[in-house]
Amino acid sequence: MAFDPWKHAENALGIPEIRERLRRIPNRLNEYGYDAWGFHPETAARVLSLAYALYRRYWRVEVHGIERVPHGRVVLAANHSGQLPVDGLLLWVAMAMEADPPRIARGMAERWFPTLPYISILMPRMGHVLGDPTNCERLLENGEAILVFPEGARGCGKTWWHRYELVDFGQGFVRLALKTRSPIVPIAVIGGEEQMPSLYNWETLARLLGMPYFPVTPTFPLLGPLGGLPLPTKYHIYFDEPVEFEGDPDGPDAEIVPMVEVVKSKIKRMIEYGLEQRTSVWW
Amino acid sequence: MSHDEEKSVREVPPGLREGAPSGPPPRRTEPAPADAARPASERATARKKVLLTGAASGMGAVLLRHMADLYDVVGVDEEDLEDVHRSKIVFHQAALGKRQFEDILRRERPDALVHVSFRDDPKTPARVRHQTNVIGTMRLLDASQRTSVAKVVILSSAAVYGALPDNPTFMDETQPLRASQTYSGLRDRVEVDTYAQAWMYKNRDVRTIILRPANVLGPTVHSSFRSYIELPRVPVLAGFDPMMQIIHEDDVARAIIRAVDAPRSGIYNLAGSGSALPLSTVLAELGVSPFPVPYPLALPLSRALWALGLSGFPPPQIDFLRYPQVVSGVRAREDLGFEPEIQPRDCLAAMRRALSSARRGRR
Repeated sequence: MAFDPWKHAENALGIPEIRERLRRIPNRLNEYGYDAWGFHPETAARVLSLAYALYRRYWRVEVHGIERVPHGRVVLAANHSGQLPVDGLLLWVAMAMEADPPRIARGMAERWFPTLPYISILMPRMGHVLGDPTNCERLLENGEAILVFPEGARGCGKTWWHRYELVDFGQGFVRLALKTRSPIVPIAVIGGEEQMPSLYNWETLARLLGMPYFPVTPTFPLLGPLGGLPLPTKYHIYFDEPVEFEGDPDGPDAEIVPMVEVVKSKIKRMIEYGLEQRTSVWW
Repeated sequence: MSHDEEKSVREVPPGLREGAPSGPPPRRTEPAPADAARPASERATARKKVLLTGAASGMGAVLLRHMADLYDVVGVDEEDLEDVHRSKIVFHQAALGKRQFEDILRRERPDALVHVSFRDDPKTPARVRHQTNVIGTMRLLDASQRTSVAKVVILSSAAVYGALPDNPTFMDETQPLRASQTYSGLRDRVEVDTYAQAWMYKNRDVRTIILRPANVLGPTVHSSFRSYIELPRVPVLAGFDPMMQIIHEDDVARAIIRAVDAPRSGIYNLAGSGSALPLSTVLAELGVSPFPVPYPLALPLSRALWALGLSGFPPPQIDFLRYPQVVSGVRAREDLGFEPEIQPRDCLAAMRRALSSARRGRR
């Protein structure tokens, strides 16, 4: 048999095992291996192998309670931090590689992601979709797992001085859960805030560049783009018991806000617990 | 073949879903001499009489193939008809917007009108195309109402939803029509679709169906997607590979026939479940080697080439190379019982054969 360098590289990176794992996940792929949102397990497996290496070696993620994620449709709601959506990436890896059965956590992308070259291709191939109610509803009806960060981009762009403080939660994820009768799993991510300590959010520049925020860290933009690489903090991810709400998805805010607060307070409690348990930011 | 996952969304306004057939029951009398000129409900033979606009077009030819033995077909087109089925049908050479067309309707009194004519050729001036497409459709619909046609089927396009970064996957028929208003071809489509919708709500006594197929491929039809892949050098945008859908021309014809026979009104997307594919896969299956253009260059370059007449690719169509367009065909399945029969792989293979034979024919 001829030596195929690509095959050899794939085997070395453990990609066949990852593909095998992904094959266990129920999917709606067409004959070309794509689903309608652009998910392509062949490509996702390659990305997953690199991301899993970072997951284990760089950020050394420890998950707590991942077995609490129920089968079938579920809304995963986590706090957002770290300027770059590393928490989203690591949760995606965790659900694919550590959860049993493996799941594809469908991240919700903001509408400017499809305008970015190459990222606009990679995100759908990994399983992430535009954060649109239609998409979320259909995916949940299909029994999939949706990953939401109710704080939105504002949460990710938090400055150092407000680390681990939860900003206002949007209501969309609760209304979505009510409409599709999906349980919500509150998730706390520890380790994101310190990976890229933003000392100041340069709002004017952000607006100019069309970015949601522009972080000024000790190394960025001082040391150029390399100064914007996230640091190898130790990540802990805590999963709480699922919460099931009942109610009118189109109900007035007064009915929805208390439900949002329940999820928010659960995440807050887990963050406090996680910070207490943590002995070091790096190890 | 994956299962269809789309959830049905019932948001069409009430009053458009009556199930009872319209018109008086067929009378059993001896056939009168002017039998052929009466609608089916009054004729002894049960075959429907269907008037088809755009009979000389690609889609017209496909429909003739499917309909010539099913219905009594009356074809109308501005161009003369050269078709193998010519002998089986009645043909009138006429323009849509003129008085002559209404006379044809009065004389023929069809049971149903199928409107597929649409001028898409960028070489024709926009003003002329607008006259045929939009004004022609308006006059056609008014004439149908005046001559009491019972059923109207209009072939629109899923392109009317536009290709935008915030397009959800599985857009249903309530999705707003956001196609670029800057390109006259798309603008005409949106205008025709919008006018037809308003007309449909105003004239409830006419059963009207608007069909919005995804990109139509096949050996006969000349869609704008076909013009794109037949360009001497097919451009794609570097770093973009959006999801898109295709449907075979024969499946569109089958859907039109279902629409003709269905005793209802409504708007229906036509796309097969499992037919969403990335643009790169579609091009690869068609045997097209695209050349990638960096996006910052693409828009100014395409505008320059278009202005100089060197390109067959209108600038606003660039959005279709960037952003996804995936529609849900669930409503058509539920209401019309329509599902595409030709799978994407076979559709692409057929198109690939058609392209290579067209290329051979040109040499």
